[in-house]
Amino acid sequence: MPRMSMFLARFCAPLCVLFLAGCLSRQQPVQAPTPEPVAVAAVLGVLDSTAVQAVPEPLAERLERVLQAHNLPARPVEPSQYLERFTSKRTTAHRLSELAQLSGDAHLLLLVEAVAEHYSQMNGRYRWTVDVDATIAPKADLAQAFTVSFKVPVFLDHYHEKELQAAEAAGPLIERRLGVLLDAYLGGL
Amino acid sequence: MHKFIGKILSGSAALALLVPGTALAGGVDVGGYFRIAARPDWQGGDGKLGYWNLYGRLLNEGPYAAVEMKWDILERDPASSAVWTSLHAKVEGASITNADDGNGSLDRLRLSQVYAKAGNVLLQDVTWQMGTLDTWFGSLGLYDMWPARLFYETIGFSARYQNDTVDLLLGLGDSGYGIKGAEYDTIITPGGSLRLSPGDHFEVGFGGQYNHESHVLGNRHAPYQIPGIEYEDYIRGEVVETWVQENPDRLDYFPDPEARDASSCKLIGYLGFGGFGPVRWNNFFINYQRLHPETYYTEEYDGRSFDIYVTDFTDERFQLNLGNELQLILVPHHLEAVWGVLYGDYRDLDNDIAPSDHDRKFVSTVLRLQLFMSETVHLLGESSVAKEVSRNGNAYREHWDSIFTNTGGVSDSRGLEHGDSDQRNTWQGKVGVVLNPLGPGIYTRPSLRLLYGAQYSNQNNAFGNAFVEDLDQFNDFELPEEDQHWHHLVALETEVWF
Repeated sequence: MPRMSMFLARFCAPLCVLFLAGCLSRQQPVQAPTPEPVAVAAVLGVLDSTAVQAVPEPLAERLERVLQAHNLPARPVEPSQYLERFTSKRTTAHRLSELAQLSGDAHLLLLVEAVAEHYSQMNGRYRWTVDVDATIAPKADLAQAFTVSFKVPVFLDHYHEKELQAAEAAGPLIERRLGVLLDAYLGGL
Repeated sequence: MHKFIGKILSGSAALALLVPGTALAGGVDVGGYFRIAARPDWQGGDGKLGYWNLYGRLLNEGPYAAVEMKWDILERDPASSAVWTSLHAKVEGASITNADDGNGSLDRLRLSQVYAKAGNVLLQDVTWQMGTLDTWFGSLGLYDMWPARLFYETIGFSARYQNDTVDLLLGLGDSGYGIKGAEYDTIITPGGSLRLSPGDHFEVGFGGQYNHESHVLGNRHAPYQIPGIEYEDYIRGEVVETWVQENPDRLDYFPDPEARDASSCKLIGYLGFGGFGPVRWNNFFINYQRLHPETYYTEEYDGRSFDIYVTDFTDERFQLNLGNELQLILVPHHLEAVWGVLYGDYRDLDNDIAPSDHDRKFVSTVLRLQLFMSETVHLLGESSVAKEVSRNGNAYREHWDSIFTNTGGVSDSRGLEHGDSDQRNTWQGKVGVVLNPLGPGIYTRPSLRLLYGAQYSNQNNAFGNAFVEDLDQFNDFELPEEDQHWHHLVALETEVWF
């Protein structure tokens, strides 16, 4: 029995420390003083086409999660309501206008426009680049919209994984950048 | 609430100055790959657990760096089918400062790929590529091998037609420098591949390339064969010596080389399926290839150099490689597995007398499990079993004193074998902690790993080392008079894709 205790002390304790290290609490994001609903539309462009498609569900959930963390409850707009419109309305300003009409009681709008493009085959994998424009705007004055643009490199394991999988794989970094955007946005108020 | 919204309105303009955008219109993008490790080895090894990737790439590969630049000369307009073009250049190599014997020397790096791509020119959905043409169907991640690969040595042009279900590639180029290097001779290489993706759960593909090198009289780098010489003399490097023994005082009449044509080819196949149950995806690859013949080597005799042309001695080397990799999600968000199998059958029909890498069989299986203890802290376990068999006699040393022995334990200084066994059997096990900042996923990178690995092999000292290799060294250095079949290694390493 003492040997078992020694084994536990020597081998399990370091693992527990590592496990706890992975659970370290993170700095709290900046939060809105009161819950402020945000209407959300997120689209993925289709290359060589004016068409757009909805972002994959895991990415949509990440967007909602990061908004919620900032005390900004998400009001996702049903993609079927805007995909057709966004095909002809291709500028961010026009799409914001469309989103404003679909936003219900939300006073803030979040529009995420992403395009995934194959970069190259690299060391056995498929590198993609996901270009993201994330725009947040008060519905009352769309001229005050603020857009942050960034690229996310993504490596996919398989050929059959295309734009949707690239967008999903970019999720953690999109979530991170959107969090920074919201921190700055709310922190400056 | 209106006060809050009012603040939002006034704060927006100022915020635009705080958060910079990074989108580049027609700009340069950089991607790449790095892996680097500290692997102290107290058993005299060079920091790798075993000899090569057959036992799984983990702990068996050295450092590596690759950087690829992509310059969008004419940026692709997402919403139109306008012409676009991009330039790619890739530098890569297996040396990083303080991590290997090259110490990051630039002569270990190479400009491995340069090509320009253009789309929507003449034909819709066709991408034209000019430059290096290296391409593949996919990879065996556990082994870091790409069996279904084409045009690795080729520079030329290709056209790739792609839609949702069809990926057709046709290419034509020259593999002369890629295959022969400084002994360049034109090797015309046509080839192509077809991949069909009828649904989200199934893919199939096949392809091939053919390399042809024509004889050019007078060109020293073209394929030739010295007539009337024996294969065994070629293996021993004693072609001229033997010829002189058989033809005394006629060295000036050593036979002239006779011109030949040379060719080689490669066929590849691929089958992929998955996306159901615990099966994320399964890749199966196969290739069958005939290697390109060698040109010549040089022998010194009586103060003179002789180029020995050996096309006929090296033109029947065949390889069959099969590999399969199955990715499983055993417990979603908690436990994933990858299982790989690799088989190779290499034959050199010209060689019936000496062990060689061209005359062997091997089979291997690797299983990796990764347990996600938290979003970023994971536990990794991997094990592999491999068997390598030499077709032409002994190729491996099982015992510390087998340097003195050969077949049947009898010393034979003129023997062509080197060792006391024709088989190498290897087991490896690896465990450790992985930190993945981007979250779960067995192939999610970057990864920071603390690993311990153990290997058992029937071969003595079955890892890269600087132990004595011949009798002269044996006389100078004290060699432990016992076998060493186990090898242990601790590694602190990182692997990054960007």
